[in-house]
Amino acid sequence: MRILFINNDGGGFADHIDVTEGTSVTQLFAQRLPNRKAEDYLIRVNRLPVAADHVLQADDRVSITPIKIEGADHFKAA
Amino acid sequence: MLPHKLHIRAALKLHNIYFALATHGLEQTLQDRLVPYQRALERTRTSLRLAVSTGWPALTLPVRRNLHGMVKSIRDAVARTNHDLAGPAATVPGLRSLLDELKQLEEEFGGLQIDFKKKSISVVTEPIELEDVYLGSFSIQLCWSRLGKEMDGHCLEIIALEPNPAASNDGVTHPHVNHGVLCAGDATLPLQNALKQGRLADAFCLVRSVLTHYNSKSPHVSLDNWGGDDCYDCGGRIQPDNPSECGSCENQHCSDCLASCHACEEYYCHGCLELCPLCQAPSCPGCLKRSAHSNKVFCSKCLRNCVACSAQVAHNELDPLTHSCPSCIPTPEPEVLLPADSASSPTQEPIPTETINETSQSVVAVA
Repeated sequence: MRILFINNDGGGFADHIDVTEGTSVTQLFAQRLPNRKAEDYLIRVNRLPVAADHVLQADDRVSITPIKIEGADHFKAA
Repeated sequence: MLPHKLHIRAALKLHNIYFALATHGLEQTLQDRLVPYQRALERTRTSLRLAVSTGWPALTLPVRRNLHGMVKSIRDAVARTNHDLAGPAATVPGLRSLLDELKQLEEEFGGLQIDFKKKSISVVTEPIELEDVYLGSFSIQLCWSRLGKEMDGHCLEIIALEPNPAASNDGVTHPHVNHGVLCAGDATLPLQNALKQGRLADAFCLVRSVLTHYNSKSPHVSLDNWGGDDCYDCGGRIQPDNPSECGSCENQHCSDCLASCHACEEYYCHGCLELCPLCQAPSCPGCLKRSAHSNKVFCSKCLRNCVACSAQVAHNELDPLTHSCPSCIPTPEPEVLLPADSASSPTQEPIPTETINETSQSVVAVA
Protein backbone atom coordinates (compact mmCIF):
# COMPACT_ATOMS: atom_id res chain seq x y z
CA MET A 1 0.00 0.00 0.00
CA ARG A 2 1.11 3.59 -0.58
CA ILE A 3 1.91 6.05 2.15
CA LEU A 4 3.53 9.49 2.20
CA PHE A 5 6.84 9.25 4.02
CA ILE A 6 8.58 12.45 5.18
CA ASN A 7 12.10 11.93 6.44
CA ASN A 8 13.47 15.15 7.97
CA ASP A 9 16.75 13.46 8.81
CA GLY A 10 19.62 14.24 6.43
CA GLY A 11 18.28 15.76 3.22
CA GLY A 12 14.67 15.95 4.33
CA PHE A 13 12.72 14.36 1.46
CA ALA A 14 9.00 13.74 1.21
CA ASP A 15 7.86 10.99 -1.11
CA HIS A 16 5.22 8.31 -1.64
CA ILE A 17 6.51 4.84 -0.85
CA ASP A 18 5.08 1.34 -0.88
CA VAL A 19 4.85 -0.59 2.38
CA THR A 20 3.48 -4.03 3.16
CA GLU A 21 0.04 -4.13 4.71
CA GLY A 22 0.19 -4.55 8.46
CA THR A 23 3.49 -2.67 8.82
CA SER A 24 3.72 -0.85 12.13
CA VAL A 25 5.34 2.50 12.75
CA THR A 26 8.24 0.82 14.56
CA GLN A 27 8.81 -1.57 11.69
CA LEU A 28 8.76 1.23 9.15
CA PHE A 29 11.27 3.17 11.26
CA ALA A 30 13.61 0.17 11.47
CA GLN A 31 13.42 -0.33 7.70
CA ARG A 32 14.01 3.30 6.78
CA LEU A 33 16.38 4.37 9.54
CA PRO A 34 18.31 1.28 10.51
CA ASN A 35 20.71 1.56 13.47
CA ARG A 36 18.86 4.60 14.82
CA LYS A 37 16.85 4.89 18.03
CA ALA A 38 13.19 5.81 17.70
CA GLU A 39 13.34 7.82 20.96
CA ASP A 40 15.71 10.25 19.22
CA TYR A 41 12.98 11.16 16.74
CA LEU A 42 9.62 12.87 16.65
CA ILE A 43 7.33 10.44 14.81
CA ARG A 44 3.93 11.60 13.61
CA VAL A 45 1.26 9.75 11.68
CA ASN A 46 -1.27 12.04 10.02
CA ARG A 47 0.24 14.85 12.13
CA LEU A 48 -0.50 13.13 15.43
CA PRO A 49 1.71 11.23 17.88
CA VAL A 50 0.97 7.49 17.82
CA ALA A 51 1.92 4.39 19.78
CA ALA A 52 4.96 2.44 18.63
CA ASP A 53 2.82 -0.53 17.55
CA HIS A 54 0.39 1.59 15.54
CA VAL A 55 -0.36 -0.16 12.25
CA LEU A 56 -0.15 1.97 9.16
CA GLN A 57 -3.06 2.37 6.74
CA ALA A 58 -3.06 3.26 3.05
CA ASP A 59 -2.49 6.98 2.33
CA ASP A 60 -1.17 7.62 5.82
CA ARG A 61 1.22 10.55 6.19
CA VAL A 62 4.25 9.58 8.27
CA SER A 63 6.87 12.15 9.30
CA ILE A 64 10.10 11.54 11.18
CA THR A 65 12.08 14.49 12.61
CA PRO A 66 15.26 14.28 14.72
CA ILE A 67 14.89 15.72 18.21
CA LYS A 68 18.54 16.83 18.36
CA ILE A 69 20.23 18.51 15.43
CA GLU A 70 23.62 20.19 15.45
CA GLY A 71 23.53 23.90 14.73
CA ALA A 72 26.48 25.99 13.61
CA ASP A 73 28.17 29.35 14.02
CA HIS A 74 27.91 30.28 10.36
CA PHE A 75 25.23 30.17 7.74
CA LYS A 76 25.63 26.96 5.77
CA ALA A 77 24.47 27.00 2.15
CA ALA A 78 22.16 24.07 1.50
CA MET B 1 -6.65 27.98 20.42
CA LEU B 2 -7.05 30.66 17.82
CA PRO B 3 -10.44 31.11 16.13
CA HIS B 4 -10.77 28.94 13.04
CA LYS B 5 -11.31 31.96 10.78
CA LEU B 6 -7.86 33.30 11.66
CA HIS B 7 -6.36 29.99 10.63
CA ILE B 8 -8.23 30.18 7.33
CA ARG B 9 -7.15 33.77 6.73
CA ALA B 10 -3.50 32.92 7.41
CA ALA B 11 -3.71 29.77 5.28
CA LEU B 12 -5.07 31.85 2.38
CA LYS B 13 -2.18 34.31 2.69
CA LEU B 14 0.32 31.48 2.69
CA HIS B 15 -1.38 29.76 -0.24
CA ASN B 16 -1.16 32.95 -2.31
CA ILE B 17 2.54 33.28 -1.46
CA TYR B 18 3.27 29.72 -2.53
CA PHE B 19 1.19 30.14 -5.69
CA ALA B 20 3.09 33.27 -6.67
CA LEU B 21 6.40 31.54 -5.94
CA ALA B 22 5.55 28.54 -8.11
CA THR B 23 4.33 30.71 -10.99
CA HIS B 24 7.29 33.03 -10.84
CA GLY B 25 9.66 30.11 -10.63
CA LEU B 26 8.24 28.43 -13.70
CA GLU B 27 8.12 31.67 -15.68
CA GLN B 28 11.71 32.47 -14.85
CA THR B 29 12.82 28.96 -15.77
CA LEU B 30 11.02 29.10 -19.11
CA GLN B 31 12.60 32.46 -19.85
CA ASP B 32 16.05 31.07 -19.10
CA ARG B 33 15.39 28.10 -21.37
CA LEU B 34 14.42 30.38 -24.24
CA VAL B 35 17.85 32.05 -24.31
CA PRO B 36 19.22 29.50 -26.88
CA TYR B 37 16.15 30.27 -29.00
CA GLN B 38 17.00 34.00 -28.89
CA ARG B 39 20.54 33.26 -30.08
CA ALA B 40 19.28 30.98 -32.84
CA LEU B 41 16.85 33.70 -33.90
CA GLU B 42 19.67 36.27 -34.18
CA ARG B 43 21.77 33.91 -36.25
CA THR B 44 18.83 33.19 -38.53
CA ARG B 45 18.17 36.88 -39.10
CA THR B 46 21.82 37.52 -39.90
CA SER B 47 22.02 34.66 -42.35
CA LEU B 48 18.70 35.66 -43.98
CA ARG B 49 19.92 39.21 -44.58
CA LEU B 50 23.13 37.95 -46.05
CA ALA B 51 21.34 35.50 -48.35
CA VAL B 52 18.88 38.11 -49.59
CA SER B 53 21.50 40.83 -50.07
CA THR B 54 23.94 38.63 -52.01
CA GLY B 55 21.33 36.61 -53.79
CA TRP B 56 23.50 33.54 -53.46
CA PRO B 57 21.37 30.41 -53.44
CA ALA B 58 24.16 28.58 -51.58
CA LEU B 59 23.45 30.72 -48.48
CA THR B 60 20.02 29.19 -48.07
CA LEU B 61 21.70 26.21 -46.37
CA PRO B 62 22.92 28.22 -43.35
CA VAL B 63 19.47 29.82 -43.14
CA ARG B 64 17.80 26.41 -43.04
CA ARG B 65 20.30 25.22 -40.42
CA ASN B 66 19.58 28.20 -38.17
CA LEU B 67 15.84 27.79 -38.60
CA HIS B 68 16.24 24.19 -37.52
CA GLY B 69 18.19 25.39 -34.46
CA MET B 70 15.32 27.69 -33.52
CA VAL B 71 12.80 24.86 -33.70
CA LYS B 72 15.04 22.57 -31.64
CA SER B 73 15.59 25.13 -28.85
CA ILE B 74 11.84 25.84 -28.63
CA ARG B 75 11.04 22.15 -28.57
CA ASP B 76 13.58 21.57 -25.73
CA ALA B 77 12.25 24.46 -23.66
CA VAL B 78 8.65 23.29 -24.04
CA ALA B 79 9.49 19.66 -23.19
CA ARG B 80 11.36 20.59 -20.03
CA THR B 81 8.67 23.00 -18.93
CA ASN B 82 6.03 20.32 -19.44
CA HIS B 83 8.11 18.04 -17.26
CA ASP B 84 8.37 20.73 -14.56
CA LEU B 85 4.61 21.15 -14.49
CA ALA B 86 4.32 17.63 -13.12
CA GLY B 87 7.14 18.03 -10.57
CA PRO B 88 7.60 19.65 -7.11
CA ALA B 89 8.52 23.07 -8.53
CA ALA B 90 4.93 23.52 -9.67
CA THR B 91 3.39 22.02 -6.56
CA VAL B 92 1.50 24.49 -4.46
CA PRO B 93 0.47 23.35 -1.00
CA GLY B 94 -3.29 23.19 -0.90
CA LEU B 95 -5.40 25.30 1.42
CA ARG B 96 -6.47 22.20 3.38
CA SER B 97 -2.85 21.17 3.80
CA LEU B 98 -1.82 24.62 5.06
CA LEU B 99 -4.71 24.68 7.52
CA ASP B 100 -3.57 21.33 8.85
CA GLU B 101 -0.02 22.69 9.19
CA LEU B 102 -1.25 25.60 11.32
CA LYS B 103 -3.31 23.30 13.53
CA GLN B 104 -0.39 20.94 13.96
CA LEU B 105 1.79 23.86 14.99
CA GLU B 106 -0.71 24.79 17.64
CA GLU B 107 -0.70 21.21 18.95
CA GLU B 108 3.07 20.77 18.88
CA PHE B 109 3.90 24.06 20.59
CA GLY B 110 0.83 24.59 22.74
CA GLY B 111 -0.11 27.78 20.94
CA LEU B 112 0.27 29.79 17.76
CA GLN B 113 0.36 33.54 17.16
CA ILE B 114 -0.63 35.05 13.82
CA ASP B 115 0.22 38.70 13.15
CA PHE B 116 -1.31 39.97 9.92
CA LYS B 117 0.42 43.35 10.22
CA LYS B 118 3.87 41.85 10.57
CA LYS B 119 2.84 39.06 8.17
CA SER B 120 4.14 36.41 10.49
CA ILE B 121 3.23 33.27 12.36
CA SER B 122 5.09 32.37 15.52
CA VAL B 123 5.32 29.78 18.25
CA VAL B 124 7.07 29.72 21.61
CA THR B 125 9.39 26.97 22.80
CA GLU B 126 9.66 25.60 26.30
CA PRO B 127 12.42 27.22 28.39
CA ILE B 128 15.76 25.97 27.17
CA GLU B 129 18.75 25.20 29.36
CA LEU B 130 21.95 23.88 27.83
CA GLU B 131 24.83 22.64 30.01
CA ASP B 132 23.51 24.47 33.08
CA VAL B 133 23.19 27.75 31.19
CA TYR B 134 19.62 29.00 31.28
CA LEU B 135 18.68 30.57 27.95
CA GLY B 136 14.93 30.89 28.46
CA SER B 137 12.13 30.46 25.96
CA PHE B 138 12.40 31.47 22.34
CA SER B 139 9.82 32.67 19.87
CA ILE B 140 10.25 31.14 16.42
CA GLN B 141 8.77 33.55 13.92
CA LEU B 142 8.12 32.88 10.23
CA CYS B 143 7.78 36.06 8.16
CA TRP B 144 5.73 34.91 5.19
CA SER B 145 6.57 38.01 3.15
CA ARG B 146 10.20 36.81 3.10
CA LEU B 147 9.33 33.25 2.14
CA GLY B 148 10.05 33.78 -1.54
CA LYS B 149 13.36 35.60 -1.21
CA GLU B 150 14.77 33.73 1.75
CA MET B 151 13.58 30.15 1.58
CA ASP B 152 16.86 29.06 3.14
CA GLY B 153 15.87 29.99 6.67
CA HIS B 154 16.44 33.75 6.83
CA CYS B 155 12.66 34.09 6.71
CA LEU B 156 12.71 32.74 10.25
CA GLU B 157 13.53 34.98 13.21
CA ILE B 158 14.49 33.56 16.60
CA ILE B 159 13.66 35.93 19.45
CA ALA B 160 14.82 35.30 23.00
CA LEU B 161 11.93 36.00 25.36
CA GLU B 162 14.06 35.91 28.53
CA PRO B 163 17.39 37.02 27.05
CA ASN B 164 20.53 35.75 28.68
CA PRO B 165 23.02 36.67 25.98
CA ALA B 166 26.68 35.78 25.94
CA ALA B 167 28.86 38.17 27.95
CA SER B 168 31.07 38.83 24.94
CA ASN B 169 28.26 39.52 22.47
CA ASP B 170 24.78 40.80 23.28
CA GLY B 171 23.48 39.59 19.93
CA VAL B 172 24.20 35.94 20.71
CA THR B 173 21.20 34.79 22.72
CA HIS B 174 21.82 31.12 21.98
CA PRO B 175 25.03 29.36 20.91
CA HIS B 176 23.56 29.01 17.39
CA VAL B 177 21.56 32.24 17.16
CA ASN B 178 23.16 35.56 16.29
CA HIS B 179 21.02 38.70 16.12
CA GLY B 180 17.90 36.63 15.64
CA VAL B 181 19.28 34.49 12.84
CA LEU B 182 19.55 30.76 13.36
CA CYS B 183 22.59 28.99 11.96
CA ALA B 184 20.78 25.73 11.30
CA GLY B 185 23.86 23.61 10.58
CA ASP B 186 22.73 20.04 9.81
CA ALA B 187 19.11 21.19 9.70
CA THR B 188 19.74 23.60 6.80
CA LEU B 189 18.74 21.28 3.95
CA PRO B 190 15.69 19.62 5.55
CA LEU B 191 14.55 23.06 6.74
CA GLN B 192 14.82 24.51 3.26
CA ASN B 193 12.88 21.58 1.77
CA ALA B 194 10.20 21.80 4.43
CA LEU B 195 9.67 25.51 3.77
CA LYS B 196 9.62 25.03 -0.02
CA GLN B 197 7.00 22.31 0.24
CA GLY B 198 4.83 24.18 2.73
CA ARG B 199 5.52 21.70 5.57
CA LEU B 200 5.52 24.46 8.15
CA ALA B 201 5.15 22.23 11.21
CA ASP B 202 8.18 20.22 10.12
CA ALA B 203 10.15 23.46 9.63
CA PHE B 204 9.35 24.76 13.11
CA CYS B 205 10.09 21.36 14.69
CA LEU B 206 13.46 21.29 12.94
CA VAL B 207 14.28 24.73 14.35
CA ARG B 208 13.30 23.56 17.81
CA SER B 209 15.58 20.53 17.43
CA VAL B 210 18.53 22.86 16.78
CA LEU B 211 17.65 25.17 19.68
CA THR B 212 17.37 22.32 22.20
CA HIS B 213 20.75 20.87 21.32
CA TYR B 214 24.25 22.29 21.82
CA ASN B 215 26.92 21.71 19.20
CA SER B 216 30.11 22.47 21.13
CA LYS B 217 32.20 22.23 17.97
CA SER B 218 30.59 25.19 16.26
CA PRO B 219 28.87 27.77 18.47
CA HIS B 220 28.93 31.53 18.04
CA VAL B 221 30.02 31.65 21.69
CA SER B 222 30.93 28.58 23.68
CA LEU B 223 28.79 27.86 26.73
CA ASP B 224 32.02 27.60 28.77
CA ASN B 225 32.56 31.32 28.17
CA TRP B 226 28.92 32.32 28.25
CA GLY B 227 28.50 34.16 31.55
CA GLY B 228 31.81 35.89 31.96
CA ASP B 229 32.96 37.19 35.35
CA ASP B 230 31.63 40.09 37.37
CA CYS B 231 33.88 43.01 38.28
CA TYR B 232 35.24 42.80 41.85
CA ASP B 233 34.74 46.55 42.32
CA CYS B 234 31.61 47.67 40.45
CA GLY B 235 29.90 44.30 39.79
CA GLY B 236 29.64 44.95 36.05
CA ARG B 237 30.12 42.22 33.40
CA ILE B 238 33.72 41.68 32.30
CA GLN B 239 34.32 41.36 28.56
CA PRO B 240 36.46 38.27 27.89
CA ASP B 241 38.69 40.07 25.39
CA ASN B 242 39.69 42.83 27.82
CA PRO B 243 42.42 42.56 30.50
CA SER B 244 40.66 41.79 33.73
CA GLU B 245 43.05 40.66 36.45
CA CYS B 246 44.72 43.15 38.76
CA GLY B 247 48.47 42.47 38.78
CA SER B 248 48.63 42.99 42.53
CA CYS B 249 45.50 41.66 44.26
CA GLU B 250 44.67 39.26 41.34
CA ASN B 251 40.93 39.98 41.54
CA GLN B 252 38.87 40.22 38.32
CA HIS B 253 37.85 43.72 37.24
CA CYS B 254 36.12 45.32 34.26
CA SER B 255 38.11 47.65 32.01
CA ASP B 256 36.66 50.75 33.72
CA CYS B 257 38.01 49.65 37.07
CA LEU B 258 41.54 48.95 35.87
CA ALA B 259 44.30 51.41 35.03
CA SER B 260 47.88 50.98 34.01
CA CYS B 261 50.90 51.87 36.14
CA HIS B 262 52.68 54.73 34.38
CA ALA B 263 56.08 53.16 35.13
CA CYS B 264 55.65 49.47 34.22
CA GLU B 265 52.39 49.86 32.17
CA GLU B 266 50.85 46.73 33.74
CA TYR B 267 47.17 46.80 34.78
CA TYR B 268 46.05 47.24 38.37
CA CYS B 269 42.81 48.08 40.09
CA HIS B 270 42.37 51.58 41.49
CA GLY B 271 42.73 50.22 45.03
CA CYS B 272 46.20 48.88 44.32
CA LEU B 273 47.51 51.99 42.56
CA GLU B 274 48.92 55.00 44.47
CA LEU B 275 49.68 58.45 43.23
CA CYS B 276 53.30 59.47 43.29
CA PRO B 277 53.50 62.59 45.52
CA LEU B 278 55.93 64.19 43.10
CA CYS B 279 54.47 63.59 39.60
CA GLN B 280 50.92 62.59 40.71
CA ALA B 281 50.92 59.64 38.27
CA PRO B 282 49.36 56.28 39.33
CA SER B 283 51.95 53.69 40.28
CA CYS B 284 51.78 50.08 41.32
CA PRO B 285 53.25 48.78 44.59
CA GLY B 286 56.25 47.33 42.71
CA CYS B 287 57.19 50.66 41.16
CA LEU B 288 56.97 52.72 44.39
CA LYS B 289 60.21 52.96 46.35
CA ARG B 290 61.43 54.90 49.37
CA SER B 291 63.86 57.74 49.05
CA ALA B 292 67.07 56.99 50.94
CA HIS B 293 67.10 60.59 52.18
CA SER B 294 63.52 61.47 53.21
CA ASN B 295 62.21 57.90 53.51
CA LYS B 296 59.10 59.03 51.59
CA VAL B 297 57.67 56.82 48.79
CA PHE B 298 58.04 57.93 45.17
CA CYS B 299 57.52 56.24 41.79
CA SER B 300 60.54 54.78 40.04
CA LYS B 301 60.49 57.51 37.38
CA CYS B 302 60.92 60.21 40.04
CA LEU B 303 63.90 58.56 41.77
CA ARG B 304 67.52 59.25 40.82
CA ASN B 305 70.83 57.84 41.96
CA CYS B 306 73.18 60.08 43.92
CA VAL B 307 76.40 60.49 41.93
CA ALA B 308 78.45 60.13 45.08
CA CYS B 309 76.89 57.25 47.01
CA SER B 310 74.43 55.84 44.41
CA ALA B 311 71.57 55.95 46.92
CA GLN B 312 68.13 56.42 45.35
CA VAL B 313 66.48 59.66 46.28
CA ALA B 314 63.72 61.77 44.76
CA HIS B 315 65.01 64.01 41.99
CA ASN B 316 63.95 67.13 43.90
CA GLU B 317 66.11 66.01 46.82
CA LEU B 318 69.29 66.02 44.75
CA ASP B 319 71.56 69.02 44.72
CA PRO B 320 71.02 70.63 41.29
CA LEU B 321 74.71 71.46 40.86
CA THR B 322 76.44 68.37 42.14
CA HIS B 323 73.59 65.85 41.60
CA SER B 324 74.38 64.38 44.98
CA CYS B 325 72.06 63.63 47.84
CA PRO B 326 71.96 65.91 50.86
CA SER B 327 74.21 63.49 52.76
CA CYS B 328 76.89 63.74 50.09
CA ILE B 329 76.85 67.50 49.39
CA PRO B 330 80.48 68.71 50.12
CA THR B 331 80.65 71.22 53.08
CA PRO B 332 82.68 74.46 52.47
CA GLU B 333 86.06 74.91 54.44
CA PRO B 334 85.77 77.20 57.50
CA GLU B 335 87.54 80.74 57.29
CA VAL B 336 91.02 80.87 59.07
CA LEU B 337 91.56 84.04 61.31
CA LEU B 338 95.13 85.06 62.21
CA PRO B 339 95.72 86.29 65.93
CA ALA B 340 96.39 90.10 66.44
CA ASP B 341 100.17 90.63 67.85
CA SER B 342 101.86 94.29 67.89
CA ALA B 343 105.55 93.16 68.64
CA SER B 344 105.86 90.63 66.03
CA SER B 345 103.75 92.17 63.45
CA PRO B 346 104.43 95.40 61.63
CA THR B 347 102.65 98.60 62.65
CA GLN B 348 99.33 98.64 61.17
CA GLU B 349 97.28 101.64 60.42
CA PRO B 350 94.10 101.58 62.42
CA ILE B 351 91.27 100.37 60.28
CA PRO B 352 88.89 103.28 59.90
CA THR B 353 85.38 102.70 60.92
CA GLU B 354 82.59 104.51 59.23
CA THR B 355 79.71 106.28 60.87
CA ILE B 356 76.79 107.99 59.36
CA ASN B 357 76.46 111.76 60.09
CA GLU B 358 72.91 112.05 61.14
CA THR B 359 72.46 115.57 59.89
CA SER B 360 74.10 115.28 56.54
CA GLN B 361 73.43 111.63 55.99
CA SER B 362 76.94 111.32 54.66
CA VAL B 363 79.53 108.89 55.56
CA VAL B 364 82.34 110.49 57.56
CA ALA B 365 85.57 108.74 58.33
CA VAL B 366 86.48 108.92 62.01
CA ALA B 367 90.05 108.53 63.09
